Amino acid sequence: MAQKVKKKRKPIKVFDIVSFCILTLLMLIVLIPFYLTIIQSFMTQQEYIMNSNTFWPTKPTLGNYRDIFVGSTMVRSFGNSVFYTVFGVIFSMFITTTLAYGLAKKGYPGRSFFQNLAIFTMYFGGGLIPFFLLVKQLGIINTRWAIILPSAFSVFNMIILRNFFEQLPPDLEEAATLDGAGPLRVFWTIDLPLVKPALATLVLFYAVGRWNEWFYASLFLGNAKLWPMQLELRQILWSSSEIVGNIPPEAGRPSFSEGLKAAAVMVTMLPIMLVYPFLQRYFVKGVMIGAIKS
Amino acid sequence: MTLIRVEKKTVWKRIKKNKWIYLFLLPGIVYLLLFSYVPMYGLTLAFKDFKISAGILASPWSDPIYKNFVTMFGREAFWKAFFNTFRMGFWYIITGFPGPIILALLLNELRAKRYKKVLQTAFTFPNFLSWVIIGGLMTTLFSSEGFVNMLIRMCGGETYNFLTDNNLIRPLLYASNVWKSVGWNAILYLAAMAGISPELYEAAEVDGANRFHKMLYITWPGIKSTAVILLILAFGGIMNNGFDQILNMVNPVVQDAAETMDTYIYRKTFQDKPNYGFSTAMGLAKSVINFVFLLAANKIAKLFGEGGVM
Amino acid sequence: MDYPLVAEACEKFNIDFTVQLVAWDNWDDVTRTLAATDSFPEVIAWYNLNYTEYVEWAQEGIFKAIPDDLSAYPNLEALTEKYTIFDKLLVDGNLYAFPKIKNNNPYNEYDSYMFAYRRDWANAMGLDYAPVQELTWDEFKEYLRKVKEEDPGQLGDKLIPFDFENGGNSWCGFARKWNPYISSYKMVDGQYVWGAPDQTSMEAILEIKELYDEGLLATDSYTDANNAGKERFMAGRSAVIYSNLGPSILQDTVNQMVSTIDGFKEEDLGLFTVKMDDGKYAVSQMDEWWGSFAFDNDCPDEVMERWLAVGNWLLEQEQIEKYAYGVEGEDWTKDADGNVTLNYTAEETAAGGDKEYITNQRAFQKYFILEGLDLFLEGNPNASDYVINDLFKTNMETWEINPNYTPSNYDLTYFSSPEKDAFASVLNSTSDDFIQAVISDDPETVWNQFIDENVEQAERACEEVNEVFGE
Repeated sequence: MAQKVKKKRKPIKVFDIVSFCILTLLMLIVLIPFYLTIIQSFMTQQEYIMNSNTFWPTKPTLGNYRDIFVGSTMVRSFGNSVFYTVFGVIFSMFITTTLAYGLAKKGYPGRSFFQNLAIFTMYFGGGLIPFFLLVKQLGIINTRWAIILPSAFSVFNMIILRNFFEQLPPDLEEAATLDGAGPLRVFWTIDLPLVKPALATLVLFYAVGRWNEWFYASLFLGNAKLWPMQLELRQILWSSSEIVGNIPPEAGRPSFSEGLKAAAVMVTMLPIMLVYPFLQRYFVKGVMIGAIKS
Repeated sequence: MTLIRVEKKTVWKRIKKNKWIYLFLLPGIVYLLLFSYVPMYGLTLAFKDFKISAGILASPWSDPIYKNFVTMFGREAFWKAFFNTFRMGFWYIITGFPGPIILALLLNELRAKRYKKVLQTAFTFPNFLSWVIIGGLMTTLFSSEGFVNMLIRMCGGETYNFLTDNNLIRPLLYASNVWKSVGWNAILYLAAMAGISPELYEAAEVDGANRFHKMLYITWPGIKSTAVILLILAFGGIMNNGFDQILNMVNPVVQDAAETMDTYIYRKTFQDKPNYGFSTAMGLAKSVINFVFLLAANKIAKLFGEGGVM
Repeated sequence: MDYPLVAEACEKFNIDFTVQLVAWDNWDDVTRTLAATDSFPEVIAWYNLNYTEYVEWAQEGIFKAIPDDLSAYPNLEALTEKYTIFDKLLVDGNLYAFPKIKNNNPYNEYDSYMFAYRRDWANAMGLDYAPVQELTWDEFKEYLRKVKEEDPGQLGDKLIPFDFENGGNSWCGFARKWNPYISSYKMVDGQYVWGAPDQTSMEAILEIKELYDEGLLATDSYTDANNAGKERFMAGRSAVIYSNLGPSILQDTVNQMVSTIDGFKEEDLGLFTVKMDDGKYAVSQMDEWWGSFAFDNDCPDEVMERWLAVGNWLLEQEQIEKYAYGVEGEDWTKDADGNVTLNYTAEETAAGGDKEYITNQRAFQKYFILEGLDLFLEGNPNASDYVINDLFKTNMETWEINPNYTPSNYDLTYFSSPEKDAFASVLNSTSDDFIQAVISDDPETVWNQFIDENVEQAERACEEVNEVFGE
């Protein structure tokens, strides 16, 4: 075993250097505009307007972050967002995984019907008015359920996951069934662990979607105590930048809308970036397959 | 007669045998029936004159019933937006599709594993910038007093007004779209690669395969079905590209060059007073085109022996 | 409630309410969905009531009509008599929404788009300009050129001699100085025609183009949104701004500039009154209102009655003062001469400050009709004498001497018909084509193409309009 590992170590080739350089260059292209956004969040309006082409603010300020947090109810809405994300993702993953698994199976009557039933909804929907009426009739408007339940399911994600299930080698499953394992057991102990990378991806997709969600919240939640962070942030940005009718913004102290926007991005991103490395672990090559084999 | 009965029986038997599968389908299907199919009656708005007091179901049918479609097809601006959406949709796919695959392959070949993680994370950053921010960045970078022109002037060139160039706006949209989404979309391929058994690589090495061979004969087949599915779905969304992006990045000078059906609906029917019948009709037309493209792409994939989405 | 004045109102009128907040940035989506599904709460208070929608919703029975006889609410009744807008909001003889009067100032009939200039820069160039300086259009242009040449603020290529509130997106609004009807209809020989094709549009384009080509305007400003141009002025980049400077906004602008620009004093801001080539000040009438409160069709009578009673009460002088300053005796005192002294700083009333409630309880007042009333209160310490009298009042009085006045055409604005409603999107997009014409090398072709493309639709819309209003 040890020898095998040693054998793997190969001399660095031209290709390694080239791909290293290409990727590093790409990263710079990706990061420079991002960096500009970061410093924008530490600028005053005065500096942003008078000295726009700069890579370092001469007088960095935390004023934009102060304007977001001071006097607002960010802590409450942050808690709401965590709640919606955690429970929303659990619910979304439940229906996505079960449906994807069911549709990945073959040779039962009605499979293509159910599949087409799902795909059809990607393209045809009734629009906002009947959707709103439905949620209203379910009696969940102005409750947390209005954020968790509607918009929980992405057929797109389901199709991706179904594809991963379809790629699994059938022999493992057959062997387990011969050993007397029931379908639920096969699903839970064999198939699910095998698609961990895909599950991690979907958790990430759903979580980020949930975390950034504000539209349904604005539609279904008149009670501002239930608002998620994104909606609260948008509200802060809006009232800082727009003059409504003839009345100046209510702020009482001048605030800088471009800086606030940039700061809001950072505030939104940070929690996701803290969680991301934990999900990244599941992308490490071969972990699952190896575990199953041994 | 007896023959049919036998067949029925076998269908029933097959259902019974697979009853646990239906159990798996149940939550998702119930969800879709409730949240997607129950509100589906809203589609009838495309053929109706919406009256708030009557509600959707009791609103009168248009006279003639295809009135909203006639209005829509009768407008020159609609056709302009229609063909523009089409053309831009193709370019969004052509520019947006290969990037994540190439990036994922490059990342996969990287020897330094820790650096790979760092890069992978960094590439997802732009995905978290909203289009409002990116619209602002675009001005910061490309306006006449922006970074790019500053560089041009430093190199002795003359200021070029990128933001008013009608031929440049679409490439800028495609490029910024790739910039924003490439790292994020690569995650799916990286997940697919993570599922490839390392034994395959080891076996190939024993056979003396070089890196390029391994990429071609192991990695690519491992992610191919994911790529095909994403391509099919991309074609199924050909009419949907870039609404939020265009609204935030396009200024009045070049806006005609980047008018899509979505921005057309937004600008022409929602500014003053929503015309639900008209916008539903337009949305329906868009959906049908998308759906046809999905079916076609799916069919072609199948002809090539790929899995497809349906 | 943490807000003493709101608590007082609730107590006095025996009301209790829960606020359902609509987020600003998808205001239209939410209100339209609520209307289309008949889901409004009992009392609706909103900004930006869109007239076409209001009429449709009123006709569809979304609202409960406000009683004809408002004699039980004398302060409200007085408003309905003072402003013509109330008549225009009648749908089939009933008032369904009580309009909020825009900035109830004594010069309300004039649109408050004005020129503000950096007086300190004018002085630095040796010009002894008054707080409100009269100029002709040609003198104004010369002034801009002088600013560009002498660069009194030492800004180099950062200097913008003349900017607009929303940069290029405000040019078309400025063009109304030449063609007041550029994005509406114009009466010619008893018939309404589309206003844009008039040759005065081209005059406006060429004038603005001249400034643009000489580098007197902000180059990329057609990308502006959210008052970016105004922000440039307030940060100290521009010498002159053309912007909405109603009294409260003007006060706010001055306050911000004093706090952000080093050494900037109140007196360093001045206004220009600019005479156009006919020797007159081109001014338009201001829309008198911009928001409203209304009642849902399910609203019980007693709820409506109490709510109207609260609105009536809030219009009393005493309440206006209390909402402007806070709790009397504790937050402010008034001496025998009527001068008010505040016991707090502006910073304290900002978000997170100790006196935040003073700002917040104004939101309650805003559900009614009372925007900006306080600036004209006698002895208000929040309003500076220089800003309100030397600048705002003087400017308005100068205009009053010799105005080329374009009244609002309420009949037309509030008339709804299929083709006219469809044509509204062309009228709204006039600004985009105006910008394209200004920055193009061949403005005539660009503008004429816009006219040609839309002239047929305009004729169809005018036909409908003339059927009702033509003579």
